[in-house]
Amino acid sequence: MKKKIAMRIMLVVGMIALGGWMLSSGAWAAAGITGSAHDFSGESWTGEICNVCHTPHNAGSELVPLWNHATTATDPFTLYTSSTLDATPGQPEGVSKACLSCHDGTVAIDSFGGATGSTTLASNDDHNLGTDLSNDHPISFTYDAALATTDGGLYNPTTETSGLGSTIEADMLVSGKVECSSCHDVHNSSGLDDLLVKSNATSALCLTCHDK
Amino acid sequence: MLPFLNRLLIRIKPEKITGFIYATVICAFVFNWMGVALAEGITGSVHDFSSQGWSAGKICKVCHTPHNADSTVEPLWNHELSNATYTLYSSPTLDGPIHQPGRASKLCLSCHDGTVAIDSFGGTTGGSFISGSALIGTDLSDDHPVGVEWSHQTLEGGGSAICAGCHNLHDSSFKMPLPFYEEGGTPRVECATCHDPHDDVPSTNGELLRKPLAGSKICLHCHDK
Repeated sequence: MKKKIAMRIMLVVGMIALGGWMLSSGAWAAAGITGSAHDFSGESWTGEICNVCHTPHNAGSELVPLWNHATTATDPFTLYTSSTLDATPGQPEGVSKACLSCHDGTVAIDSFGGATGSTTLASNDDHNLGTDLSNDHPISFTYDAALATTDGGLYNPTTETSGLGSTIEADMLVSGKVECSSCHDVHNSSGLDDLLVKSNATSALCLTCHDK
Repeated sequence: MLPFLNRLLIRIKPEKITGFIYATVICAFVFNWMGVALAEGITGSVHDFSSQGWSAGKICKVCHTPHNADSTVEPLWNHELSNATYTLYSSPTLDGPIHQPGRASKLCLSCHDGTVAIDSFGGTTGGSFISGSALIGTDLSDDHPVGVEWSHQTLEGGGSAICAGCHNLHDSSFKMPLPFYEEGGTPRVECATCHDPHDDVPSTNGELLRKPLAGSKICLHCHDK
């Protein structure tokens, strides 16, 4: 009898431990913004999720739909250069500028809806890219068939499949340009680490565009 | 019911009344915490203008009248309608065709676009115009689209198989979590999709919203993010 009870207790403890490990290890990583790195609803300064970036009324400039966050004033950013670079990166624009409005470290995360916050990404935080983008993969450049031909090490985005359902151009580019959102999904629809749009196991994400 | 309550009250001994009051207060707190709003409905809401001199102490008549209503819009409309043409929302990511605001938006905008006074109703012209964050204006380009078609019946190609996910087939009213309004033969998102002008929703939702802002539940009801 005592043995039976002890076994039952061990079973329950074991199941709780297994459940805890699966949750903490990300084995059950849930897709979607709720519970993702961009869900700030647990912070005292919001309680909501969407309103940090979007608002249904009185939205700001159209960086992204119904933009509600304070926009970075950094101008210019230091851009990436390389002797092997054939593309021409421009100053971050549109969706990339929206990302950098927290991730360049100059604007507080809780600066939205007209309020000025105080929670800025720490300078030693990996998520703080700073205003010097010279050590980051280039963004805001046109990636077309001509660039692929000139470079020789890139797939033709108009014909090469992305692995996400259609071509690189259709699935990953914004108005024909590489932006932050080419690799990262701000809304975490995939549920992958670092909010990647597709798994980078065996560098599959890099090799989507780079013909190496 | 009354004799029963009477008998119940007689049985409560005076020394137990303090405990009874405590229990009532605790129940009220618990219900409030559970999201059971204690005050629902238009009375006492931001749309209750009965304390304004121009309403003659009435609530409904600012928008509705039982007689001689504006027959061009239902139901029993009594407020002066806005004649504004609106600047519509546009975005490269917007897929649904968008139109001028439909009925379930235009009635709201007849105060909230700021062109018609709140107290312009029943044939009289008033002078109290809306202001502050409730003033939307006639430029809707910085607002969530209204008058936008949303063919939710074919969402993700699921067709009728997905209906039961939202509509309770065993509810005679086919209760909808968020209503869409037919205009020109298509279901559309309008102001009243998110907001209930009669505030017949839990007051904890805020802003007359049909679902809570907390955790952005109202946004994520439609947006698959």
